[in-house]
Amino acid sequence: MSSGRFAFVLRRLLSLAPLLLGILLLAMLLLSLAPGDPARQVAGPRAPQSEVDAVATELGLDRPVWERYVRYVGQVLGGDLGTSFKTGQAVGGQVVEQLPITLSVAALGVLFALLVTVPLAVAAARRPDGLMDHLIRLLAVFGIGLPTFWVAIMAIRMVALPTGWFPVAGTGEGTGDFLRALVLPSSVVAVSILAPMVRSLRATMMELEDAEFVLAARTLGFGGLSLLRQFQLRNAVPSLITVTAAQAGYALFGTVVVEVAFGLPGLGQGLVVASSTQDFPLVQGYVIVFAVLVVLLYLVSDIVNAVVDPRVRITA
Amino acid sequence: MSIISSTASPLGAIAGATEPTRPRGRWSGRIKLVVGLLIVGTYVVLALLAPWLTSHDPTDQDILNALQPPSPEHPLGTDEAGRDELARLLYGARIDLPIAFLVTVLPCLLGTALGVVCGYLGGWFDAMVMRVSDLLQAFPTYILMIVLVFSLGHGVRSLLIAFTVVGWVVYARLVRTEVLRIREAGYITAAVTAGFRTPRIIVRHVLPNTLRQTLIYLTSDLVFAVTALAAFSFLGFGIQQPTPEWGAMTAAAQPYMTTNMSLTVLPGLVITVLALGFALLGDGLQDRRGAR
Repeated sequence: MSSGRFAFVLRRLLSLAPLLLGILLLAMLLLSLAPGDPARQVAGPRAPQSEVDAVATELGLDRPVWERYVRYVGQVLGGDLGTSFKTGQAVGGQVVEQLPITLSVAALGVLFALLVTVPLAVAAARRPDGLMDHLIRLLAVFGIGLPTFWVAIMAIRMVALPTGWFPVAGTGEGTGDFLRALVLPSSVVAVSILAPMVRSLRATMMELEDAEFVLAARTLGFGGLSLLRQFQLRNAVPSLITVTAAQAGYALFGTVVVEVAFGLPGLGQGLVVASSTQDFPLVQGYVIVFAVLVVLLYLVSDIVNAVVDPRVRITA
Repeated sequence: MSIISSTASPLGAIAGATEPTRPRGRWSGRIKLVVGLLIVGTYVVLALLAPWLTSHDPTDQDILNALQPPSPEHPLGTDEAGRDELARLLYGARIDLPIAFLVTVLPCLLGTALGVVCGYLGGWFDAMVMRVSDLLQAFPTYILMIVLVFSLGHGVRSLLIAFTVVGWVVYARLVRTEVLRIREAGYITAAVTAGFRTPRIIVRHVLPNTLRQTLIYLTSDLVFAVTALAAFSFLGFGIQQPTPEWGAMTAAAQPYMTTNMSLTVLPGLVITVLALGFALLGDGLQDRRGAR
């Protein structure tokens, strides 16, 4: 790795520190807005006030906000996300258990989306304003408004139930079952992020149509698919990476909905359950994990971009 | 130019590159606008006329007649609590449409105001607002919204706050950039020289010039609002049963999808078509702008 690249990655990593501190602060402040007294939640609805006060002291809820924040940051940095109010289990352990499901669904979803995006965008860019182009653009407009939860339910009703190939709920047992259980949820996630990706890649490739190096390639005799693939598509890769990263962030939200619809025990379902049971530390833990995932995602996309495209390092 | 330059001939490519405008856009843009307007207009009319189009109350329960197939009395059958499905779908437009508008327009107003002030005045206020927007943009939008709705309790008020807290950022940035550009324009210098006071310049000269961009984004934001609103209610964070909200209706009907499929199909379809209407509107506006 050259020194310019290294400096870029280092700068980018350093910029994460204030962001992570901000995320922790937001997570803490947001939940202090929530109705109800956390101490009362833990002590139980019929506990006497003295007991509630004791719990508040134990949880440190009687300390000033800044002190709680500093303590909380130290605790999280030490790998401790707190303890669930309801189950008394460590939040970290629960998250680690659920993380693989969510990550698999989201990652497979992004992969599926990419596998569909590239051929569609190339097909559309081949003959701008042609029949294929119009059809694909129409599909993209339609796809943007599809409600993910509804697509998920339709997938269960129209594919999983009649064919019996995929489990309707849960992940089953063993690796084979697990992978089979992921196919439909990931496909639904892919559908939810597909349209903007196709539109963006198509638009970028068309803009490149007028670029000087494309004109140069044309004068050298390149044309048709090889021109598209070797010049327009390759130079559209950096913008495709950026769009994919943004859509992968969206895919994480898609997994929340999809996990609920398919009954998959991942982070998303966990967040929804924790919210409905008013489990503050658990919700807080999920928020932090989701936020960190998105931050890491953007970090990776920036680094990949810097590796692929030298111009990024200069302008960033 | 696209037809010429997509052929392999180098001559064609050069001829294409010198042609300044793309002829596409104007035509398809107009069609999209008209179809989009027709769809959204139909929904608005149906929402307004709901009480005259059905004699049923959308929240009237009749457990003995739950999950009935379509009949002359209930054209689309009844749901899991014996409520008339057609009435619920129609009255749903009175819930989803106005709330979708509200959760889009409020962030737009807030963001526009902040963007104008930031762009025109600059200084520490601008710096502060931009840092806050950086932080908000780094946060995953939906997770932030879920937490906000969770913290503030269920209902329309929480949805409004959550959408506004998250949504103003894009408008502020958009308008700020436009204002920075416009500020340098000759007619603003002229207005300043003429001695007009700042508020008047902002309202009369700066704001109107940022409107077009904002409007395009607002329309595409409506697509998001319609689907996200329903998704939140589907997850149980938004509007609760028995209020006839399309997302909540889908969630409630999910257990009965094998026996009463239409109860899950119809609300989703209604959302999809409305979102499509807004998407076409936004796309049409964008195409027309591109054609200019």
